[in-house]
Amino acid sequence: MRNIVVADLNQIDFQTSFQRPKIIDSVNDLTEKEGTFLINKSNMNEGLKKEGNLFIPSTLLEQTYEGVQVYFELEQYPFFQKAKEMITDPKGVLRFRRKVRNEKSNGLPASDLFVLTSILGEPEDVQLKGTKQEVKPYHLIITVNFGSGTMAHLEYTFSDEDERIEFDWSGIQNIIEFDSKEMNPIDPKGYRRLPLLYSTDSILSAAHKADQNLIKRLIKYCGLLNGGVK
Amino acid sequence: MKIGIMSFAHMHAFSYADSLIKLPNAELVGIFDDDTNRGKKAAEQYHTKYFDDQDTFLATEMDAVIICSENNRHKEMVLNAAQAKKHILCEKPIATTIEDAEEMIQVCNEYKVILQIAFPVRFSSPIAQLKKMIDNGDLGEIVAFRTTNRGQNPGDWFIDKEQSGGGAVLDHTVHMVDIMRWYLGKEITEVHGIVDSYFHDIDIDDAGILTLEFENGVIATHDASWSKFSAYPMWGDATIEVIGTKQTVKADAFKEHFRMYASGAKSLSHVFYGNDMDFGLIQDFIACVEEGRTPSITGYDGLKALEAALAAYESSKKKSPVYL
Repeated sequence: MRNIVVADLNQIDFQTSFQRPKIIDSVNDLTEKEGTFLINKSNMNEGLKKEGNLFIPSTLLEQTYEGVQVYFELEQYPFFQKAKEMITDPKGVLRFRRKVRNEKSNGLPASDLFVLTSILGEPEDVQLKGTKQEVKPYHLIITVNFGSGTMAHLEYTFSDEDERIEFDWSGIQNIIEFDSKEMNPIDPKGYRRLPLLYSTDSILSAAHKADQNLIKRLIKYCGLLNGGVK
Repeated sequence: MKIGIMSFAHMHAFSYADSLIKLPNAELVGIFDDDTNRGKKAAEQYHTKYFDDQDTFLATEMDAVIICSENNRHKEMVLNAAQAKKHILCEKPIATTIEDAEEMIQVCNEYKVILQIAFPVRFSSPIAQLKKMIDNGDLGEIVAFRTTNRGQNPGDWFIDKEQSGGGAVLDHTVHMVDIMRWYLGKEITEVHGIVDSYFHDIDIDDAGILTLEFENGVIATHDASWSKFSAYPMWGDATIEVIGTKQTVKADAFKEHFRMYASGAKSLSHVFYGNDMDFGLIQDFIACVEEGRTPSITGYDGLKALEAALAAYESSKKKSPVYL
């Protein structure tokens, strides 16, 4: 059975992957019956559903894709997987910040919130504050009260600058600080996009089935972030 | 210039006294503290006279006083010093209530004495440099701020609500609110806060996050806490990131450090070698008194910073934003 992974190819780490995915441009390139195939997200279409196990990013999920495998970008990053292991007591303050390229804006905050609830629990209250849409860059502040002593600021700056993630967790006797800009192992930076790369191995193993439950939860978070509904 | 210090309850008194000693045009002429042991010890350390009576201290010939008492005693000491015609540098927060702060400002105006509030972060070299960049237009229009001021639990009277007026949110909000107001030249109109206590087993807040909006639509976040513990490599932080239409720039008041590894409970320490912002503050205050000019950080600046911090508590209690 084929695995067809829809992704932003610029974010795939081919070096550390066990899978050796073949890059395709369209269904016409699917000549083998087995294997893992990567297709750029700009080429995604519904026709891919019947060609194999389809893996799509959460930001492209729509009702019509029910039943496919969906993956969340944040969940793929190795730093996040490790940090998740370390946060054993979800009591504390999270400051999560992303600088995101303009074209990635759709649905990304809701997807991140979905992932963060797996560590911090369901939000009790979500408040939004954004700058004027017509002024660039657009900056969005999401204040989340998870209750029981857990609170977070999720902040997004949408611009044409390079992507960056800062993850800053202050727990009880436990502090995690991560800044993707500081953690690039290649200097000078720019040769590789590490640490904001992820592998097809990770996508295949961490993807979720897009069932009604998942779709409803994502819709709920999108709703919360479209008006800060309690 | 003759300067006295009123109370060593706040640990910044030591740093301010150290700064006074370095200045050739300033002399520490006396210390008043109604904690006799503390006052005598400090007077011995700084080779100056100890006073256990506030009236006698204020009757002494001096130009100005620096007040470093518990927060709830700022008002009493400011009013007494003003009536004794001494110029005043008052530790932050200016007071524990808006009414007290207003009265302090009014009395200082009445007696024509300077009331400056101790916001030393304005004298941090990277923080001041970023202010210059903003004023030069290097960032374009400001659209948002992100700030932090997180440190360790100071204990003692800081965790007694009666004496401090509030915990980490009061203690660690006023500095960065002052910096945002200074950078922007605009006032805060909306405060949303979540305030809690869980880093320590204490009856006062030790964590809070604030979301702010300014009158011109600029938005901001602030993280105020006593979340750092003793094994953390440094005391805490004071950072601001300014998101502008031309570029985003971050300033970190304690970034200038080297890493020192040692065997023992604290294996890594960040050793700060940046400029001494407390010295900058004292130097500015002395110059302000000498020149008889309006202080760079006024009582009103102190009041507006206090207002935002108190609004965060109110917002957290009401679970809704507070409009100023």
